[in-house]
Amino acid sequence: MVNLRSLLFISFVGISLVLMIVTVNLQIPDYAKIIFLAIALFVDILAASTRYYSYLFIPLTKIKNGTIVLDTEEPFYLSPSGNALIVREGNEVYATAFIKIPVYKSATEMNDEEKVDFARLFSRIVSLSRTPFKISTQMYLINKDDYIAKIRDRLNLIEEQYQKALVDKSTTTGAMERLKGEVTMWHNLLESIGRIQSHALLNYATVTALGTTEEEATALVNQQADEIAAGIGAILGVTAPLMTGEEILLVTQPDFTIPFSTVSESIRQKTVSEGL
Amino acid sequence: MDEETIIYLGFTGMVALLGIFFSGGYGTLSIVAIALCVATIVFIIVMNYADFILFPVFTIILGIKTEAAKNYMIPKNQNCIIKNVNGLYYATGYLTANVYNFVFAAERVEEGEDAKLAAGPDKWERIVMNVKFPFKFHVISYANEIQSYREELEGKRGFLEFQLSKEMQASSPNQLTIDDFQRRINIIQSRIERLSSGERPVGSVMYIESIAVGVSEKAAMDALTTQIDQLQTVFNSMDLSINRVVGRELNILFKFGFKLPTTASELEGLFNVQK
Repeated sequence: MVNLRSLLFISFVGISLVLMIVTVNLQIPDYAKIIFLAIALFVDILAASTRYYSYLFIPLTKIKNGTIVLDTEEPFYLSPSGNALIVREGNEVYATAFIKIPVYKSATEMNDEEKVDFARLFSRIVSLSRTPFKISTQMYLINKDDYIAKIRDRLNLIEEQYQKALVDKSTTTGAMERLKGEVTMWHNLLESIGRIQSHALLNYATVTALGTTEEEATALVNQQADEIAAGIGAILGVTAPLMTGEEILLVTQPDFTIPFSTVSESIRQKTVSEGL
Repeated sequence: MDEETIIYLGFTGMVALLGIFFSGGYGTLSIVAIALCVATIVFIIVMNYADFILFPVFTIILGIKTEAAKNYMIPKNQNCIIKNVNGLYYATGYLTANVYNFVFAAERVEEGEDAKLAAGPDKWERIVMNVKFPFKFHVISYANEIQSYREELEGKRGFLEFQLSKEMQASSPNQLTIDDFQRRINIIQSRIERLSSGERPVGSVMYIESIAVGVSEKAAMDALTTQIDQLQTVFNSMDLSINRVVGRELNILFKFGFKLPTTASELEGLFNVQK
């Protein structure tokens, strides 16, 4: 099958070759021949560059404000069932499934023999499938966005009560002290939550299948994922479930790996502490 | 070097060589013609092996950014991909993580293999404990067909044995060359023995990914560079060959986050796969 890359390569090599042969036989001054030769060789370099950069040739012709636009769409979307990512490229549809690999062992609890066995188990996992698949370990920030939001809401509420109490003559000194103390407490809690970033580790496998329709690709990838999950389960003695929805986004989207509120609170505190 | 690369290099190189062949047609400027053709051949070879240097130079000089997808931008120095989410910038960078050192060491010193395997989980946990920012370690792998891989190895061994015997029969044999051939034959032999013991041949690509966040593109990129430097230091203990990914491979690794190659040949066409 002739694809765009092969087509570009053959065209550029052909143009370069024809230009070179024709130039030699033309009755023109030598310096003009050299210019034509330089053009032919430039086209030859373009032909060589199609090996890796054919995807840039068409976008380069539409360059705007110094930006090459490869794609303006979202890179993927979740399948309706929520257990696969769908990527469309022309008439082809790719579906990618993610399998969680729960590992409950730690090297600190193993003797040397167990460590060697564990390393060998890993070697067996990587040779599970003849289709390329990916085994990944991800360290990510634990999402405290909801927790931080609740603390902020509570802090705002108490601060509002405290401001009202300040102008209200009937408020007793004891009640004022209690509200002030509560405001300080929520402030301290928000600060300590934002200051410490908690991390977690997740192991997962990824596999992609190609289909002509979304349904076909999803069905194929689910079948492959089930086979890999069964293999992982048999080797490690764990249940390896398919990941869905937000779990998939956690391993594919940077703003899920580093949750927005959790990190913005931490950046705010860092900025305040540096006096910026 | 894969077959496709040989075809691309071969044809484009031949066109430039043809220019040298026709150089007589350029009269007094034939030397200039030869120089241009030689320069083209050199450039094509350099481009094939060091495009990760040439491509960023090209984009930096022309100030070209690349929009890889909606909200994902590759800056002109081509060393990370940036996502903008409500004014926060997430920069993602990649490192290659090849274990060639380990493979060759294991094949040369058989008795050291268990000790290396036992040290692996410990080293990994120490790395995880010392890294205080998000990162991912990826291994893309696939099992090869045993029979064809064995035949390929036997073919390579036969060719090396032929070269070795030719060197040994030479009028003045070079001991260093003989040693090198013997070492390479031993490596292939040990691979064949591992296949005989039931081990499946595997092709793999390994890389590390890290994400940094900042209130501006520059802040995120600077934080990422610091993280990448730190990862290079901590992963040194694993005997890995680590390099920061720049240029076209960055876009490929970005896509690997949500779509993998579906065949081994597709993967081998994109990267030098370790076998």
